[in-house]
Amino acid sequence: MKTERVKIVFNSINIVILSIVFFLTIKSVSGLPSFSFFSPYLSLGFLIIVAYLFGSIARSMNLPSLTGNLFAGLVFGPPLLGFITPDDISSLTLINSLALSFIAITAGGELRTASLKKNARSILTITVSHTFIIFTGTVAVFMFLFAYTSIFPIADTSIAFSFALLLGVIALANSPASTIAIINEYKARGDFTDVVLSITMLKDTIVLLLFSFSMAFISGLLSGSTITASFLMLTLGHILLSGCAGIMYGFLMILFFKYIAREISIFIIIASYCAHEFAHLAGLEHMFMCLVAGFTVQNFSRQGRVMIEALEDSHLPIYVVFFSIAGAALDFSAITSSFSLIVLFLIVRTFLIYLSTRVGTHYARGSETVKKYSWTGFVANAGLALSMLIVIDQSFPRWGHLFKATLISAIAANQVIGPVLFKYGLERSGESKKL
Amino acid sequence: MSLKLLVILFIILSYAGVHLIFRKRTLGILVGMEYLLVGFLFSLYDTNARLLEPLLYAFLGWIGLLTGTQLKISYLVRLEKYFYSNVIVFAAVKILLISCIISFFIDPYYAFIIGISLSPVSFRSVAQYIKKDRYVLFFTSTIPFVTLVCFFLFYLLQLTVETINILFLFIAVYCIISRFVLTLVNEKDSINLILVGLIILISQTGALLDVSPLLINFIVGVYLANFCPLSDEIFTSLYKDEKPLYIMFLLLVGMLAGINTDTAVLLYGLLFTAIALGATFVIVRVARFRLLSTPWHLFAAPGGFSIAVAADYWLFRGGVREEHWMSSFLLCAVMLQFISGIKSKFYENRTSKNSL
Repeated sequence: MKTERVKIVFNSINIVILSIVFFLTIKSVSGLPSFSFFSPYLSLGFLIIVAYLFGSIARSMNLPSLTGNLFAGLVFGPPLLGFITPDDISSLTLINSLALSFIAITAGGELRTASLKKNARSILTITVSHTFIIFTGTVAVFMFLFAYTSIFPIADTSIAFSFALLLGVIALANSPASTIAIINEYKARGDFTDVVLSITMLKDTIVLLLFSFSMAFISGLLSGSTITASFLMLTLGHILLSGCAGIMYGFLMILFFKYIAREISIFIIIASYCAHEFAHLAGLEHMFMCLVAGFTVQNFSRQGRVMIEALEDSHLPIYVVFFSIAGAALDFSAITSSFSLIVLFLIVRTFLIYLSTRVGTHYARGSETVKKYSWTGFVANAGLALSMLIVIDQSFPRWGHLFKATLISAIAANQVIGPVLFKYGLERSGESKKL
Repeated sequence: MSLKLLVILFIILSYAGVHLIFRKRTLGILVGMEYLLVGFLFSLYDTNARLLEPLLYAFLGWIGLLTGTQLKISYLVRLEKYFYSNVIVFAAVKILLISCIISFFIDPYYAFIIGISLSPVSFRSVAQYIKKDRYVLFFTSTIPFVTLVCFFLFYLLQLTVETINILFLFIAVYCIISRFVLTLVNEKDSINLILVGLIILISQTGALLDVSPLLINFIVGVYLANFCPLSDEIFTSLYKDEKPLYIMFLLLVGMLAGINTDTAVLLYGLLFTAIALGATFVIVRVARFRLLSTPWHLFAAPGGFSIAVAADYWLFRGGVREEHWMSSFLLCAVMLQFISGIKSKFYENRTSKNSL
């Protein structure tokens, strides 16, 4: 305990010294013409070190490292100290895209058909109950609140309904990145871990579909047109095509592992990047494609173990950078103006997650640990939700910005609370190897 | 070509290149310098190559840190005094001889930096043929430290008092920070991560303050090697991917510096090569330094480290693409490596025939 306290003090001193040095450096060079050119890299170097130190402090405080990484980004990013500028963050998006593909491949690789079959009933019932209860529950609660209270005055009923519908979709979304990062950090294995991971990935696909349908429905509602069957087929076809591309990509990876099998860690990083670029060029859903690729390698070849080892070898720098950048991009600016709505959203979502998980596990008749703690794995909510907010902001200029500003604060809060809760669940269930 | 794609191509080329060059029983004649030529080819494409300059700073930082972490006083004191005097005199004479002759043809500043850059000897070229003579191997691996000291002194001469103050303050601060940050790290992965962070931070700050990333990282490396309890782990971590990183570095230098196709550049390149060969011959054959039993041409191959020194100075002078002196130097470095490689092959064939 004393050693941990010494570590916290020592790391805090390191952070303070490094911050002062960094601050003085950027202060003295910010006027130079080459500053904007080197600034993103300078910020990246600084962020890597402070995020690691914050992660180390979080570990000493018995919290997940990623909470520390997020805090590092939050403290030094635009919302607080502003050492990392929004321009720096946008210059580092390449790392974000790479990290998301990497995380999706990892998640796919962690899904094993044997454990999926074993927990199929739990996975299906919880996913169905989540989709139904969280989505419809959130829509109903907020429709009621918008109509009968002055918590968030929206005069137009169509906009109020659109608002509630999108809140429902966002409430359903989880954070595969946080889930997989926590599982990796705590080397968790077991039914609870498998169920949470599988549902998180499955829900990701459902959220994508729901979001596409909701967006089309809202566009129709606001413009007076209706959704056609061809649109539905197109959306489903898009997901299916991404899945097929993922299978092919997975088989290409298998070929590499089987016949070349050299510099695998580097290969995984390059493969993640190429997957992102390919999906971007082909207009495919890159997270889903990578997930399927990872799943294919794990379950349709003997190379799954090789891939997982390579992923574990290179995950630390990717997670540290990804979560610290994610922390820097969090925005709490709307917290004062929409405080009550944010708090209500957090409460309603957490309650519905708890309720729907209990209902799902009741019908699934799964293990006791899954029944008791699996809800803790579904609170984190980040990447996918944030990208949906960007689309909403761009698609509905009249109210999209307000929606985005309000929801970002809620997502930020979930992203801070979620990993801590999941770590608690893993420890209580006894599936965490790092106790 | 997209820059992102280019970086990916570089990574693939470098990792595939390691298998082509180093996994064979014998090394190629150019010992990796062929990647500098590939870099020149890339420079012909019209890309925004300058956007990759921060990467070059980071590579120079890595080379500096790697070199610095090898300088452990506790190991060095075990060697005899005559060994050090031989190494120092060898490097100093080589630098002076080459730079004095070259200064008749070009600006003395550039002549001196070419002299300094050509003073190191490619360890891999020597180690390929000299496997048992520990004196020669130690000798070769110690020369870069003398080169860096000379480079540091030469570099200080060109800075203003204010920049020198910044440089020393910067070095002191980052030595302390690096030591502090690395003290509590206990996992191998974390050391890698912190080192990446430190290299990026120090190199990019160096780029902004216009101070050499190679030298600063070298001094931080020396400090860590001697005062950090994790010095061995740090060195292992930096050394782990040395070969592909060097290849990537050569590709990047080739692409960013480019090659000037003027006849004058070619002529100067040939001239520098002749001067460097002559100087090496004279030093090894006449002054000897107890190296007489080793073929002199092995000491003519400059290796990747010399490219790093020149690239560092080139960036300090503004990093102008296809600059005459840099193009001539790069040409000279490739030719020296080639000539040394060819002569070494002949030497190898002759010795194997004699032994039969």
